[in-house]
Amino acid sequence: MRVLLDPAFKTELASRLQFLYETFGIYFLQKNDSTNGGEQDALVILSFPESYEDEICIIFGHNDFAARMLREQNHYISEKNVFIIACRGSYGWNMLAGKKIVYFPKYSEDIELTYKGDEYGFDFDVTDAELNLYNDTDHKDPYEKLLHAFKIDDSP
Amino acid sequence: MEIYCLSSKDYDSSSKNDGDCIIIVDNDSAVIFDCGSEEHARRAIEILDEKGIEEALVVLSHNDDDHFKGIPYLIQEGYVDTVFTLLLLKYKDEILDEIGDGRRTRKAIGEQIMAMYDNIASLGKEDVTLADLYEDQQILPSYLSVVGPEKDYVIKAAAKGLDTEKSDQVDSESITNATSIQLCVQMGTPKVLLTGDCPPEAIPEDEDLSDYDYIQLPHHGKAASAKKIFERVGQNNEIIYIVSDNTGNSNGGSDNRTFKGHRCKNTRTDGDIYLSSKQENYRRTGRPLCA
Repeated sequence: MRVLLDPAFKTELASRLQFLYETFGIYFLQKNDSTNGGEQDALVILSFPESYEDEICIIFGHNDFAARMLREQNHYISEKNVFIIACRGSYGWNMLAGKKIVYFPKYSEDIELTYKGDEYGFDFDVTDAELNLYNDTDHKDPYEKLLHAFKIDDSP
Repeated sequence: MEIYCLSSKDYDSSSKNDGDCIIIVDNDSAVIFDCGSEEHARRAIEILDEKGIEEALVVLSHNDDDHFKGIPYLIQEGYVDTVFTLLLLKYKDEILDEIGDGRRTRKAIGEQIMAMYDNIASLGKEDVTLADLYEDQQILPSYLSVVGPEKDYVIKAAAKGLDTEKSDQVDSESITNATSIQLCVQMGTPKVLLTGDCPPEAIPEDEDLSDYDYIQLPHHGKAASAKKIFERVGQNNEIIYIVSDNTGNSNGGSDNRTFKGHRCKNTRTDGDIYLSSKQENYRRTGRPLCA
């Protein structure tokens, strides 16, 4: 599993690594090189081992970051399933994604509001999708867990 | 409307179990949901005096000391003339039928109930009117409604508790806890669920917990109950959970437990919890995830 984190959230990296560990029960590490070797592009977080759910990529950040990843870095995204947590859920993300399957939280509004993280025990402001992921005790399979968190009943 | 959930965090005797005290104020009327110590009762009186309210209705969720001990003081000080609670003695025939072993007498069952619900029984000696959970709901103000427990659940639980051959626990709680009154407070738009020490299983199945804005986690934030409530709520992350824990780990309690992933306010750590129907932005509190 790979997570492409918007560099705008760099200060939250350690907390987000902890979040991923607690959510999926597996370690995640920041990979030194980013999608195309430029630090400004994305903070790349990889599961350890890297082979864990290697058809899943999560893009987290502002909507322009997510769009840039799909538009300009698409060839670096080899995963089949791309889960995006960003604003502008109604935007035509599939157009940018090519043959990949893009998932956006089904309930996501155009402006994705967050909750103050400290109220929920986190060191970063947190979205519904992340809270749903964190609190889900029913699903063990990460793909199903993500679909459930995004409130998507069936794969498209 | 305002709700004060009192904390004993700053009381002198921190080792004592002060229990719950939740005061609901609506203009010139008030309801006190449980009052577990004289300290709580004194503070409740201060709030009533400040609001110019001379008398409040008490709703006693269940018999236990940490929900009851302040009530005699409220009565003696003249601030309460009616206590709304479960008057189980009224249902001894139904309990007798439920036990159905043919060996118990009405008298014996009555004595057992008086012993098990000793605090409520003691109110019979006080200068106060007792109102019953199932027969007297019309006395509740319009903003309050009883959610549970259902009468059938109570009869079965009481029968189990009074039958010496069976376990004295229902849904992993004592019989008195299991029969805790659950109240819905409609604060204008926001809805609040108060639970006392009830097990989540005692909340009627058709009650949609995700429809609430605030939920008191039962039994002072007891971990097993909290987990079941979270599961039942599902993916509504906007809910604020209230933990009225002035108890510590000896009785339910939330010591050494975190509720990470859920928005909780805890009297043990946060002091008094204040809710108001005028509060805004109690839902999404973070920044938008937009560029």
